[in-house]
Order: sequence, then C-alpha cells, then structure tokens
Amino acid sequence: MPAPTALGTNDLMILLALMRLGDDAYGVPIAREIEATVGRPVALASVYATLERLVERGLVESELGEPTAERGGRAKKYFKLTGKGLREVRAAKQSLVKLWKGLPQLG
Amino acid sequence: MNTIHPPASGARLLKRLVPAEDHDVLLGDLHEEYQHGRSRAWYWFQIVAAVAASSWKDIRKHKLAALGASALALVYLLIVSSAIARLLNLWRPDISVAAFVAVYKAIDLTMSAVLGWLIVRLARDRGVTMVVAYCGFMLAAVCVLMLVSGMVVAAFHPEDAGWHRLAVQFQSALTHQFVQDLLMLSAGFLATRRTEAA
Repeated sequence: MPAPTALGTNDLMILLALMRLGDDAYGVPIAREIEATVGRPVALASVYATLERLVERGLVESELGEPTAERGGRAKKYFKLTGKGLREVRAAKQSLVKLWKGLPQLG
Repeated sequence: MNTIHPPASGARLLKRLVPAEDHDVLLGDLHEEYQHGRSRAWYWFQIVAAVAASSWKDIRKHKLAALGASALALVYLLIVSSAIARLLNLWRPDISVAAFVAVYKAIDLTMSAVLGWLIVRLARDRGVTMVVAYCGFMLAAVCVLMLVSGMVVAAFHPEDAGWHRLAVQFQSALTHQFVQDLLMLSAGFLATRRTEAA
C-alpha cells in the first residue's frame, strides 16, 4: 500500500509543472504552465508561496541564476524536484488512481 | 527586443508596503513578462497579489507579533472609544441623536487612522503587515460578534429577532469596520513614507 501523501492540489500542480519543465523551471514558465492548466490568470506570488513551502518540506530545491537585462538586472530562481518530491508525486498518483478507479461517472 | 519597462511605482509600492521580504526574483519575473507583452492591468494585479501574499507570509512568520499588535490596537481603540463616549456624554451638545452618532463615528475613525500610523511607526521594518494583521483580525471579530449577537437575540428575545434587522445591523457594522480598516491602511501607508525618509 502506498505511503499516505499530504500534497494539496496546488502542491501537486506545481510539482507536475516542475517535472514537465525540467531544467528550465523558474517563476514565469511555472506560472504559465499552471495558467494553461487552470485556464485563468495565476498570481506569481502565490506560485512562489507554494514553492517556498515545498522547499521547506524538502520536496523541491532551488538555485539562483544570473541576473539578466530582460529582468531589469534581477536573477531567476530555478526550482527542481528532489528525490523525496518525486516519491511524493508517485504516491499521490497511486492514491488518486486508486480512488478514481471504478467510478462510472468519470468514464 | 524592445525594452518596455513596467511602471517603477509597482516595485516601489511592494518594497515599501512589505519591506521585510525579498521581492527581487518576483519583480524580475514581472519585468520579464511585461517585456513579453503582458498588460498594465495584469502587472498591477500581480503587485496587489504580491502585497497580499507577502503580508500573509510575514504575519505567519511573526504570529506572536501580529497577535500582540492586534490585541494592543483593540485595547487602544476600546479605551479611546470609551473616552470619547464619556467626553461627549459630559459635554452633551445640543444636537440630534443622528448628529451625535456621526460626531462619535468621525472621531472614532480619526483615532483609527492615527492608530494605523502608530502601528507602522512602531514596527518600522514590517511595513503595513501588522496593520493588515489587525484589519483581518477585526473583520473576523466583527463577523463572529454579529453572528453570536444574532444567535443570542434569537434565543432570548425572539420578538426582537428578524433577518432584516440583523442584516441591516451586520451591514452597518461591516461598513464601519471596512472604512476604519481603509483609513488605518492609508495612514499606515503614509507612515511608511516617513520611515523611508528617516
């Protein structure tokens, strides 16, 4: 039986976005990925708030990039999943698939 | 690529209202997106969301300070409101009840603005965060008090209970609280300017 997961919907969406984006995961593409999924504007500050929580829990790690002129001389902060984060996402997937199985309303 | 800069006032506002947090990475993202064609409306939505998110983060990091600021602010307002009521009662101006209530509310709201200014001046490095904490606390308190009051009236004085009366009282209390919070935040914002200049 998979270990229980405490990932919320926002947490899971951000972790999956990080997996899709790979090495190029920083604020802008992560927010755009979420926006494309939910279909409405997303506040970058709330994305960062979730990312900081995930970093505190050890599911994500961050690294500061170089400042660029495109960003007004400010650096990007890149994020990527840790091993623990990947295990949590797998556990969440197993739990959700189990819950969704056999529900005729979901087709 | 054309160099289109976002409004500089957005970044200044964010840093002034929530100075304790580091906003550089977020501001860099906003700058980048603005260069790629995002609108001014989008940019200001992001700044407002950033102020709210940063304030909340600051309050969570300093829960005791936020609770302390809210408690002290409440005590201050209770003492000041009580003093104003006593003074007005002693003075007993020859005016109608409605005018009396209006004078009382005007003084009460002025004292609230002074309180907002004081809170920011006393917690210089927190910006308006502590004022936001107090405003949130009071809005929640008003909602709870009105609910409890409505339940008590319905239980013990059912002849006085009525949805319409309760709705009117609730709306009046909430409006007053909302105006009070707006004045406190505005005065707090002005105090951050003095803090910056200091």
